[in-house]
Amino acid sequence: MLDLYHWEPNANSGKPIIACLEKGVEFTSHYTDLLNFDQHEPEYLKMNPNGTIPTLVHDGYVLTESSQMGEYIDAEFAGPPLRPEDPYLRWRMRYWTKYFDNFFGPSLSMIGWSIFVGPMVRQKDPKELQRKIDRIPLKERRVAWETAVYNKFTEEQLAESTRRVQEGIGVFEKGLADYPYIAGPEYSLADINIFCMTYSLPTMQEEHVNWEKTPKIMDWLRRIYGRPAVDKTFDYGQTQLAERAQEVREKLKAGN
Amino acid sequence: MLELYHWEPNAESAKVMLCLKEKGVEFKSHYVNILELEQYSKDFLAINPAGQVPVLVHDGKILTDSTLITEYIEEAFPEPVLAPHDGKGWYETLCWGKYVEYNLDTSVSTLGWHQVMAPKMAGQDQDKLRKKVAAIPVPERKAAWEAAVSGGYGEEQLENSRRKIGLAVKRIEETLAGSAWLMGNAYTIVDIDAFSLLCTLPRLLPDTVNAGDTPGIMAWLQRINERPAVQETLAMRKTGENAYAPGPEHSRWG
Repeated sequence: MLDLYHWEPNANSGKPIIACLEKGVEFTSHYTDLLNFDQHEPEYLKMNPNGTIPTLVHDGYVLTESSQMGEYIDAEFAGPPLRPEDPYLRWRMRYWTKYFDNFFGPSLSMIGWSIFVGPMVRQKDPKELQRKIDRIPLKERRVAWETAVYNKFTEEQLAESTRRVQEGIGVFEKGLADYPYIAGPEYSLADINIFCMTYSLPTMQEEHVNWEKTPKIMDWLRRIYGRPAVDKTFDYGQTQLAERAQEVREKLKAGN
Repeated sequence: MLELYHWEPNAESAKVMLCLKEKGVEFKSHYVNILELEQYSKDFLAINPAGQVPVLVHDGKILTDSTLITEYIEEAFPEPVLAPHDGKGWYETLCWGKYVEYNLDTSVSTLGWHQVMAPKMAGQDQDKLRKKVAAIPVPERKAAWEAAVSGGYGEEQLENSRRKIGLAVKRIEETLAGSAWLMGNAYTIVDIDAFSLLCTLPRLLPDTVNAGDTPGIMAWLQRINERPAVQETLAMRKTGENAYAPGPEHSRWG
């Protein structure tokens, strides 16, 4: 029995959805509304005390780290391998995943929250919103949510995030110089993990990610978007976040 | 052919040195003096543009990031086995690696710098030091060093470091109450990762890690210390036991 608690097929939630679909692993989907703070409901916390999304439950065994989950799924289930055999290419797979998790992702999501998600959440009843924030169990998550929801980012933080995203785009473009996929000649978990953070770059960062400036990223995105499993992943979304994918597809079709 | 660029057998450098020694893999050692900021020299940046040690060069392939290097060594040099390789065991190995890094790497270096290095560095030529720091070409590393040399860290950052260390120490002590090693009954790269940071805590935070409050950790440190691979690694020290450098940055999301 495999149960997956996920939000939109976006950022962390997208990773295990794509991994399962690529391997043809069946799972029961439990849509967990991040913006309604479903992940801090007592029932959810019983399963995952950190109150993070996604959570994967396999025959009673609970997994909560989204980037590491893929390795579990790949090891435990039959289907096409999602990790290269070669240890160096595996290191590349983990290196690139971590680069996006630690350096690029937090900066991109800061910008995303500031201009897009924050205003959406602030439409909720303020008292109710505060109550939901106050019960977040992990201190760093509580601080992070408060900062994000009330847009408490400083100008300096946002400028640094913008700098990092732009630097990251350049690093990523170079990273795709040697192989068609980020870890090597074959598609791997790194492509899955990174795609979940970057699939909307051609619209969100239109000026920096386009056919002229970053042809390798565009080409890579087109290859990943073209995978049936990735296509199916967007069906798990319920908000307009997933609709962004359609706009990107148009751009990818239009270019080159 | 293996070459390792490393600093003292502390923290991140220790993770990789301990791992190679435990596997019995020969490597050529290149000592990079972090306190002289040699990691930002042109030659070193050509190897790792991020300006961080350790770096492993294996048959011309360049590998960075200490946690990821230990995972690489485990997969590239299977004997002796230092991690479980079934789905669940490997997932937990990876999660521990992330946990140690998140809760200990940055926090231990922050406190170590504050308590031990800052007073020592105060004796150095400050102008020379500031000039070197100003020349660091990697923006986020420059910021980390600027914070470190300009009078150390704020109380909030120190408190956050103590809190994270406290959480990790509690979890590790609880884990060791039920088994000899962090992943059960075998010594693994998770023990190596955690040891590389925890070994300094009885001196750095004696009120938190001591025989009365954390007997499990104290006995575990002792057991690891007695391993020949650990003794060989510690023998590669060039300075005293207490050396720290600004570590990876604290999460920007709070």
